[in-house]
Amino acid sequence: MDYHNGFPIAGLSSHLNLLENFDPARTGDHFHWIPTGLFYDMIDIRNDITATPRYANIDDQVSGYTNAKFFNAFTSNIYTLGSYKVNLLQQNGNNQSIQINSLFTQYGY
Amino acid sequence: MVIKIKIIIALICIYFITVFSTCKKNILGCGQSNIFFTIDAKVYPDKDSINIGDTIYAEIDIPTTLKDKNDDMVDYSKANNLGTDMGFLKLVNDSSVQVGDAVNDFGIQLISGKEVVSSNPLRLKEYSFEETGGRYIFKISIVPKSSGTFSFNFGNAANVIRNGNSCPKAEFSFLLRNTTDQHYYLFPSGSGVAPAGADYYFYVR
Repeated sequence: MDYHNGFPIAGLSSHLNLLENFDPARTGDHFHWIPTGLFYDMIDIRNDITATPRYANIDDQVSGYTNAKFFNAFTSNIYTLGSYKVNLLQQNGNNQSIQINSLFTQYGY
Repeated sequence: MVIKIKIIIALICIYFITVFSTCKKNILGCGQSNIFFTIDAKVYPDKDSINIGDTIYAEIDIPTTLKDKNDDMVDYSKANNLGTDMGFLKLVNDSSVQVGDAVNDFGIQLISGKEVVSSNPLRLKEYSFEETGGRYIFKISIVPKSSGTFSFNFGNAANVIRNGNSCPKAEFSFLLRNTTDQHYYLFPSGSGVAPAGADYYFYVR
């Protein structure tokens, strides 16, 4: 999809539309392993899978994380997304841990 | 010495001209999709209520030469990874926010195309399209096995390459609005507006 400001989701800029509509389930896409949109999904309140129209089948029940929290979790011992997830949860009192684990799993990590 | 430096500068210039002048290549190779196609998918019969055991067909049938977003005709035959992932969902207790994985609520038969191993078999079916006679073809039949409000969608195909070349890459966005009544009103959180997307909603009695 060629994303624009407000398209396809009104109110989102072009780059947020791209992040929000990334589909990691499409294994035919050579870049599906790149977790495009994972961080935005932890910030926003929109759940891709219950939205209409539905562009991505991601059950995203996480919200309220911030860029500062993401940045702080990138410590020098982090080499994988799995260890990053553990670090992020530890630093934030396991906030929404079930939903975070589910989200990372859906992104393939 | 001066000649050597000139040769080196010339080679560097040739490198950058070659790398940066074609289809958005960069030092790391070809980037994300840079050709965009919008494709009409079709679901039929598009009744909003059907019975257990009825059959719905989901189909994509397009030529391999397609109009891109700039209205240029582009031969995109011999695509290596053109397909779609289809998410099958059921509304749990008709809630607007609770959905369940629903692949097992259907008998799904592949008619044209090829099934690919799904990353989430309870929620997703993944397929690649068949190329034959200058067309890309994909068709499945879907037979519900239980009652409730359901939906499925055609996921877009991003970074589609052809002939094994990593550049260019194309994105195929699927639409239903030109061919199919999508019944957005069956979904409680539905806005009823379909600017894009290929999600389809129906009730099984």
